[in-house]
Amino acid sequence: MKRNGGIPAPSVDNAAEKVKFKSKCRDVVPSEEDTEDIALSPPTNFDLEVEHLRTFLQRRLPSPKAPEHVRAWIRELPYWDPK
Amino acid sequence: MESSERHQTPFQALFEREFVPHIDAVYRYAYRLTRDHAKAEDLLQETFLRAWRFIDRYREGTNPRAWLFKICYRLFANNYRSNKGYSTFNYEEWARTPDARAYDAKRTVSVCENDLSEELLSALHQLSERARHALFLLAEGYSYKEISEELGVPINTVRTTIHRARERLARRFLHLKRVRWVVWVEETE
Repeated sequence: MKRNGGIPAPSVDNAAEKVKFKSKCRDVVPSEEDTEDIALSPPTNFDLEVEHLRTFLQRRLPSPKAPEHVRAWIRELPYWDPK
Repeated sequence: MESSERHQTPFQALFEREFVPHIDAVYRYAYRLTRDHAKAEDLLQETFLRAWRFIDRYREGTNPRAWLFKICYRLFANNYRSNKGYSTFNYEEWARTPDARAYDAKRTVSVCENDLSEELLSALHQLSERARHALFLLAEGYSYKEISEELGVPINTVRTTIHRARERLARRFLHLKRVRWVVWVEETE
């Protein structure tokens, strides 16, 4: 993607040129390629609260249950390995 | 004979009352660490075996699940990973395989729940070990303070770690296209 729609940047110390440059940039219509880049970008205001992140992880991470034979083995553990 | 009907020593009763209810939680945690059901089963069994052998060190009234998670993670970190063939999933390598290309092709909003779960787990395994562990604990309901105690780092380090991890996850999910972003954001609202 070309920066500023290909408009050359103004020199650092020319205030009038800077104003004109900003005005030109506002009029630039993004190309199709630019639009696609924007569409693929994450929302700029994306700020996931920690509780939201927690909920998301809880919902989305795999949550398998322990197999029955392992569960049975654990429940019997204190009886065949007495302290 | 049901274990509840037989005569129990105080330790046996304690084990059944405090630890047995957390079998699924520890298995889930072990699976997220190892990403392999067989290894998660081994880790689960070793965790409870260790918990039983050292039950006299457990202080009743404290958090039994946190105690089990601590044992589970230490077993994983100290022994399991180094001695039992645990290897970090290499996303870049996997992405070059035909399987991955086929998988890429079906990345749409209708992707099944399980695919996204495994994909998220895969993304978490691209993070640093500390960040990954912090997020697993966060998912298990730990507060920042509890995570900082568990990891042995200041609470601000936890905040920074989770914040950065969150940003990296966001970037990782970027290639799933915007449509997936929308799903993510909507889900969490």
